[in-house]
Amino acid sequence: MLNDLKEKKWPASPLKAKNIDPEQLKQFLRIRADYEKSAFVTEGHLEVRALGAKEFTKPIPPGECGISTLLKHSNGHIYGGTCGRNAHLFFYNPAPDGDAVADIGAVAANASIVKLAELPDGRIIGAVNEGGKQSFLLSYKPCEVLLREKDFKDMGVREIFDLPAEDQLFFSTIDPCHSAGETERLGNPLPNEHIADMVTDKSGTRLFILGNSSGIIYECAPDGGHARKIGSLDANGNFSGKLVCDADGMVYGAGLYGELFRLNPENNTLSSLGIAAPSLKGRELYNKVTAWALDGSSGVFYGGTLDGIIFQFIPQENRIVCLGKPSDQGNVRGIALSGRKVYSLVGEKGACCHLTCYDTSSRELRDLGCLLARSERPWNGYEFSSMATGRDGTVFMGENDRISHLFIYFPPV
Amino acid sequence: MKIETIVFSDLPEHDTCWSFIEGCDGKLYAGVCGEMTGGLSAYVASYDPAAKRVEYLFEIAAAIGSPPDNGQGTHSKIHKCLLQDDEGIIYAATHCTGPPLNDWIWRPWNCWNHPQKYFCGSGLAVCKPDGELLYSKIILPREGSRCMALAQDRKKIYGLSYPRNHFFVYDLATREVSDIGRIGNINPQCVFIDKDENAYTTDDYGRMVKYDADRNELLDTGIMLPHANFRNGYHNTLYDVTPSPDGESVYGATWTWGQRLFRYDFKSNRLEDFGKAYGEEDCAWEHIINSHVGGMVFAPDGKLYFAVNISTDNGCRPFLVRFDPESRERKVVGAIEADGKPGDHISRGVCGADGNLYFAEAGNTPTKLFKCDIGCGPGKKNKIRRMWG
Repeated sequence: MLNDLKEKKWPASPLKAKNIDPEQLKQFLRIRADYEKSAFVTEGHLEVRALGAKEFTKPIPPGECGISTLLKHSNGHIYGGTCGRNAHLFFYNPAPDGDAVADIGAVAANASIVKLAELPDGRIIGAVNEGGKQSFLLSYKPCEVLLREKDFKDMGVREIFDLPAEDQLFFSTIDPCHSAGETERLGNPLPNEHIADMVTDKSGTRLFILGNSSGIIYECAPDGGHARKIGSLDANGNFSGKLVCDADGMVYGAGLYGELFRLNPENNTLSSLGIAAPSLKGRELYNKVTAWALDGSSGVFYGGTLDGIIFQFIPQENRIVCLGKPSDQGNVRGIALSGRKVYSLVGEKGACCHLTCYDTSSRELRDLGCLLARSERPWNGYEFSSMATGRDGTVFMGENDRISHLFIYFPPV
Repeated sequence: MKIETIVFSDLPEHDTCWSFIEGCDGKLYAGVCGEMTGGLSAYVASYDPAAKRVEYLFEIAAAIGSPPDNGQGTHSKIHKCLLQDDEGIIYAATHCTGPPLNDWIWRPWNCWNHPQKYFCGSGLAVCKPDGELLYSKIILPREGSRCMALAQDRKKIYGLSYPRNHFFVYDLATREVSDIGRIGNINPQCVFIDKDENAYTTDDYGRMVKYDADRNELLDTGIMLPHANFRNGYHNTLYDVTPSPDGESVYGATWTWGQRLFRYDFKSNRLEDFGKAYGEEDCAWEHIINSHVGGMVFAPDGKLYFAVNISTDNGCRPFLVRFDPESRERKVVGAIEADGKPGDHISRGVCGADGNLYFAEAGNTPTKLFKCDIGCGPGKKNKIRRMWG
């Protein structure tokens, strides 16, 4: 029980100060208006899409819609994989008459699609982790691939007429429809180990898979047959769980202290480059590269680390340039390039993720703020796992929460 | 209707009272908050209707070891997060939005990792009825707690975090928190429970979400709260809910323009829509605080009472409305005002053992309770105590 409150000296609001100037009050009101909005992305335009066309269907349900990976496909769509009670494969059709997500379907229970990669023929290979330490590969053939393989023999006119020619969403005034291709479960190349990441070689005949607990890089055929060991990123398991490929098919990863390795697919040699991703001082032992993106025009890579640092890796010069730490948070969740800008998502688990931007022209590295969209519904994005750049420079961000959306960022022109 | 006020005059800078419950001992308990002045702590106070006495039980910032002048986001608010079990133990958890000392505005997104102004997280204080602290714990790092319900047989507290809007379960036996996951973007203002101590709340569009306590998961009930047909249901979350005397259902109001009044039967999972809580449809929107329904409570006359903010020539102010569940007729009983000064907003209502209705106010300094004598005496008071904030 408190009996001394009457004697207590209380702080007072400055708004109640004697002789307060009306100009001070006006400034207070202006600051308040600015402050409320200042934490959020204010440049460019941001939207969200539920994982399902809300006019016709329920989105992928809560607990199953956390987006774990995104892929820009050569057909212009963004394909994504989810994690949770059921892992789903979906695509987003960015066409103005589409502009929605279609759920292709659940591929496994209590699972996570950790990576999607496109083969030269348009097929998509997915790396899926299940319960225990099981994993498998998944093949998805979009409708255009299925059409190429289609045998029309014995088909009637109506069957032919309604056959989809591509993965699509079409909000026609007459017959709204959507079409998706076919998934097939392939083999399990890594017995008793989850997959951390996966990339393909240029020909599409080989996959390079990084073991999640061993740090070993394996190769296998896209049918998911048994994998063959190539080499380890670190003997003691201090490695980064992300791989990246350049235009020539060279594969890069990181080991102890964030030291970079190159895998040459021509001779399957794995060699240290002798340079390491930057880290905060004293945290080198914990350093991880958590996201990569390739600037296809220059051949320069952009990386992000667990400390929240953004860096450039210039393979031609075997050089790393630390660009800085744009936010007061750690854990770069994704990187995507659009024009001359490099966008990153930085945010710790359980916090409020920020979008950041490095301008390759001005060399400015900036914090753009928390993600708050108004359309197609008001929504704050807090947790993310992936980014991808669409065909026209639109930046896609995969929210990974109990309820998740595909975030779409239109950078300022 | 005769109205008196019970003013929390020992807290002259405090301005809101969001949590207000009937205790198991006949006393009324309130969380007295200070949102618009930096450097304040919320307090838990009790009012004994029989003795007509206010007691200030504890300062919650002190109870959780985070003093209000430490420069951090303050524990100045106990939102709908004040509970009491049948043994008299009080559970109070803090919310954030109160600015640090000498500041006048604070938001979690702006200060999440700020080296000084961050909010350390919602603190739960567990106290005896006289305010003696049993223990305290930070239960939601960096986040506030918006609303809670007590499942005393299961020894659990259910609640929602702010701003990330995660449904959480606090286990009173193990003192551990489980994150059940995000339910939407806007915090509902209420989590209520059924007889089996399952919890219910709503997403951003008023879809009723059930926390199945046996399965430890959130389920879609298929129920959607009503709203005007020209709105899409956004922001139509639960605002205030009171137990029905029948023990099988609750009555509630929504939090949006044109608040709907409804009855939800959790046994049969059916919702009855009683239309707009009071008055004509609001077609315009300006500021949500001008459209408000709160303080829902059953009186001994078997009628449901609640406060509605109604625009008048003298501004928007709360009026007490009586709703007859049988005829569905609703009628204004009178303005909630005292000494010629209108109330601001009524957050929660309680029926005292004396049969009078008590309403907690938010928005005036110092903040206060309104005691409304509606002339029906103790009579058949609703025996079901509200176990949520």
